[in-house]
Amino acid sequence: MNNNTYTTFFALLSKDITIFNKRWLYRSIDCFIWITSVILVAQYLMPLFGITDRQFGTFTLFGNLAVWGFFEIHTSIALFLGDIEGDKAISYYLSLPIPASLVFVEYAFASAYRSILSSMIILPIGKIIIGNDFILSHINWFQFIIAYILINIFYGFFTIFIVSFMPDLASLSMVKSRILFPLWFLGGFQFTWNMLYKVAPTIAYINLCNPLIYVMEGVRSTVLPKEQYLPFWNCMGMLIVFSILFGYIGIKKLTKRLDCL
Amino acid sequence: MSSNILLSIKNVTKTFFTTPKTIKALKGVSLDIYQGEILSLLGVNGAGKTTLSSIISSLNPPTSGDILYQGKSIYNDLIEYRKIIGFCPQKPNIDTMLTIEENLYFAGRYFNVPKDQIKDRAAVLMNKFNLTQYAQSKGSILSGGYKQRFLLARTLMHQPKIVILDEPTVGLDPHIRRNLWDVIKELKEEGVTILLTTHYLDEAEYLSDRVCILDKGVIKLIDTPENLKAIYNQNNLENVFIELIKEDANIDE
Repeated sequence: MNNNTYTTFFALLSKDITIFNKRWLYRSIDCFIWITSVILVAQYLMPLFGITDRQFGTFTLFGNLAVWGFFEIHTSIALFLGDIEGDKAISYYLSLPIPASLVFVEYAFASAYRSILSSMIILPIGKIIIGNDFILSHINWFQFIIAYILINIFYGFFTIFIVSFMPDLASLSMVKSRILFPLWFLGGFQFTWNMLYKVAPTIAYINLCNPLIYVMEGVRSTVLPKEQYLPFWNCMGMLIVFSILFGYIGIKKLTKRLDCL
Repeated sequence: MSSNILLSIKNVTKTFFTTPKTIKALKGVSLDIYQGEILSLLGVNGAGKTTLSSIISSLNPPTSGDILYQGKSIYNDLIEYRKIIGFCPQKPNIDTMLTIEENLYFAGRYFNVPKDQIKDRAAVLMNKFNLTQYAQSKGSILSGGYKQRFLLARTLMHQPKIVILDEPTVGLDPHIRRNLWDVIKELKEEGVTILLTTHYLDEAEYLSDRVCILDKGVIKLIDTPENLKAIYNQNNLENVFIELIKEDANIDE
């Protein structure tokens, strides 16, 4: 990759950042409404159902922080496929002095930027709602920042992967109900892997094939007691492996589908 | 004239492997494009015009064959080749969330135009295409004619040596078409080589140094408009085209 290719890559990224920054406030408001609703229920209503663990609010907060980018995948898929089927802005980018594969890599990074920036308000809002039950000093900030970035980059490549298999926009509802929902709900959003292992070890081992388990375990282990979660660096390693795998397959299939170089 | 050859298309084929049938869009197209000329690609729908221009713009690869730029295969260094190409697509694929000025700014950055020159270049092009009033407007509010002008302005941001225009005047009002014709003529005067795909035969006749008529994926004819009119004893290119279609129909019968 020569210097000019880098310039084109970063110009594309800069373009996407400029576009998102115009929408940042709107997306932050969306995020605010969502996280406020979820954490209020988790912190103040769930104890009435017998969930009395004081860490439950933090557990839910970090689960939602990790999963925000996953829900952004729906929007990213719709925008990507809508463009392929409609205006084809992508065909302009594919004619630029940059290999097609890097156009898709840029798309994944831009997607990561969007979900990171729009979810930045989750922690402060969570602290305000949860109060003293969420102790900021318990966060391993170094690990948390790494997890936050890697998780969202993973979502970017996962989007490319999913799009590459989708025939058209109409199949989005099928992808949501058959792929995205089970991945999320069985991916440890409301339980830890250790809990699942105690109940059904075989299913727990099968569940290790679900990348969302590493997302949830990884981010929660940066703030909650480590012994309750899968090792942090293993989770990050697996997310890198999944990112490379999904990115490779997705880029290869999209390059073929769009018949580009 | 052979010393002025800028691009050589060598036996290019393109096959689309679609279900239920395979489509051979180009069946061994070979032609030379000369420095500074305007070459128009003509043909009925499905003749292979857009496929050929997409391959020359390097947007899509050929199934077989090669394209030589100044004697070297473009596929040896595609990135360098793309720097000298300006591709203006048929569909107005504008970033609708960006303003016109921002769109042009990034179009310059993609091609590594120095930042201090981009603003001036964008201003010149917006002025040339009457886009200055829309500089701060989003691309989504532009009418069809202005979108087309914008696409051409964007194509020219990095001052390409070869400009590929795919049906640039489709659906435009006559006066806007004329305006774009003037711009295309100006580009030629500046030494830019232009490959024009069009359905409008008056446009091809007015603008082209040579026209290339494609039919069912092969080159039917390639010559100057004057020669074609003389050979077919017609007073305009439209009549030449109709004569050719009649010939084809007779052969098919």
